[in-house]
Amino acid sequence: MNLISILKIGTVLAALYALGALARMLVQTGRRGLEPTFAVGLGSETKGIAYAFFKGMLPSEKESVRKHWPTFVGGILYHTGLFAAFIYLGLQIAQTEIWPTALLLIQIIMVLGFVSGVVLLLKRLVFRKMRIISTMDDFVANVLVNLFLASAISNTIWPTILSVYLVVTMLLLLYVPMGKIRHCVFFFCTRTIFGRLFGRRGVLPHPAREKMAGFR
Amino acid sequence: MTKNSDEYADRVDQSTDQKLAVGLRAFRERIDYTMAASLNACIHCGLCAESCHYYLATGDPITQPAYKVALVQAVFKRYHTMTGGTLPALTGARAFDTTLVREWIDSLFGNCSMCARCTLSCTVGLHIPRIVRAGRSTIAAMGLVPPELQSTVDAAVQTGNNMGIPKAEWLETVEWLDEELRNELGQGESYLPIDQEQAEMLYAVNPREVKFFPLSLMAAARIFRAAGASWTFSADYFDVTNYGLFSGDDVAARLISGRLAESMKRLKCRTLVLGECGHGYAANRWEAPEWHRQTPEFAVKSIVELIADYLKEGRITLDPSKFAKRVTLHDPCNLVRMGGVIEEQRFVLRHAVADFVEMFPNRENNYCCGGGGGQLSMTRYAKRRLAAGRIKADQIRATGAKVVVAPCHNCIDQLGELNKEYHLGVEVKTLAEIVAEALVVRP
Repeated sequence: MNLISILKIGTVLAALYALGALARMLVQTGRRGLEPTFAVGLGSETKGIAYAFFKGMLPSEKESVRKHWPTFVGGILYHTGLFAAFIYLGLQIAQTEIWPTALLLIQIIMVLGFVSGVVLLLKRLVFRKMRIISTMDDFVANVLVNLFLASAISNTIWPTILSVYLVVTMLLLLYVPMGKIRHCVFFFCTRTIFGRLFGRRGVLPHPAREKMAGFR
Repeated sequence: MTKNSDEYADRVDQSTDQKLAVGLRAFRERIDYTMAASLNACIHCGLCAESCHYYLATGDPITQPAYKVALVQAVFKRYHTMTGGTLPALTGARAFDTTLVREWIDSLFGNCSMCARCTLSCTVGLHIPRIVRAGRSTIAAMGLVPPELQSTVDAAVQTGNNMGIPKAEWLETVEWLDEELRNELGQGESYLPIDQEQAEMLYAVNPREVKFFPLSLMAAARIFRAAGASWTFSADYFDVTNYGLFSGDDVAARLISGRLAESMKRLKCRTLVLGECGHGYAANRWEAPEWHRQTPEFAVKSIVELIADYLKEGRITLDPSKFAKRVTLHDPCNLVRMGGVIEEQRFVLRHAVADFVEMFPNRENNYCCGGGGGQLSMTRYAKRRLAAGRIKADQIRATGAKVVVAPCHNCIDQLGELNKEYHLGVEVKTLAEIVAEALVVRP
């Protein structure tokens, strides 16, 4: 077995560890018990949850997105780049050949993601408002993801550095459950909680306006 | 610093290990699914900052919601996560000590009105007031709630209402107002019935109305009479407020809300109508069933919803020409963003006044006036409260309105102070007062 094969197995094991640790955290969180809801609802939880994941994330609905559109766009590019890098990783591990056009697209997405990651890191370093709410974890997580993207991009150009790409990936995957990157699963919990809360109370997605249509 | 606040600061500084352990236990009890998920999800993106009126008014980064969350998150990480316990420096985990308790009090009580505007702006959708309240609950378990807020809760627990109004005074006030209305509108049935069994509705009000704003009680009575409503006050418990919501004391909150339920049961009423009080609505409509772990056997409505119903059903008629001044509407956070009563007051105002203009932003995106979260009672933070209120003052000024309607007595007090502080030159009124003025009295 050569070094690359060992690193590939290591990467898969690291991914399984990350997934297992995240699943364990989710189970532990779930065991703490969901908030009871005895109050009679005014609106729909289902509509609220749908709103929370789709319309409620858009600039038209969310003031913070409107006020920080470069960060919003940067965040989207950063996450999209990350997903692209993981897809590329999967293809590398499976030794699947990638069509040149698809590879170019993946490269562009990953480069945009990397640039966004660096800009977000600089933003965190430069602004006092950001520094005061940042912990070492915020920087470590960002640097690891940026390294992951950089090594993925490099590997598309110089396939010989696959071993570096795999080592960086392992480090990132081992770090995932330790720090803020765990939001990759808790995000879905909190957006659901948000949707349930405001949906149930008849606040979002503006059902009150529908309800009052008869008054107009 | 007053003598009392010095004593309070000393009490905080002298928190023993035992007391800190009590706090930590209370904090642990707060960590349910919602809290754990939220405290694991915050990514410190800072996008919530500009949603907060404290941050907008001061520009001080310690006032941004993410900072408040981070303070609570630090304790969560230290005691409830493996990485935080083993590598605190990496995650920002902190020991729960006197220094942190001081920071919690200053930040969670002194820099937050629990208005939830930040929640709408949050990337991951954190229920930030809930996180702040968990922190406040921890402080409450340690007996370290700022004394002015605690005394408001204590007054409600000990006397049945947050201003400590004796029953005799309450009954005398109702009798006096009834007499006034009889003199003005004619004799007959009581305008302000009290302890009337099997009335359709029990009406709960803010004790400030009894003490300082009796006109708003008379306004409600006029509206109920015009609509031919069957209603009553309770001789025992009339207080719609519940400062346990703000102090974080669930035991007190449960006791206070339970009293209104007791009165409902004793008088065999079917609907609990809540006076114009934002947090009273959130507490009694949304939180009380969770505190009691029981769906109430009666309906709970705001008087704002009720007036809209009366208009819709044609039970009252309004003449908007009676109110020609330009009117704008303030959306109380706990009634609107956290309550879901959003369009009713607008519908009523469109029928009650000739010139109604919206503030911007409005509805669930409104800015807090600064009076929520128990801020009005915590006089030690009054300067901050008034400074943070500048955002609301600017909103009001931009409308050119001469009258601001606020269906919440806490908001009315704060808006009254902002009116003086920022020379707005407006009148501040309740919705019922406006409606009572526009009422077309049928012969």
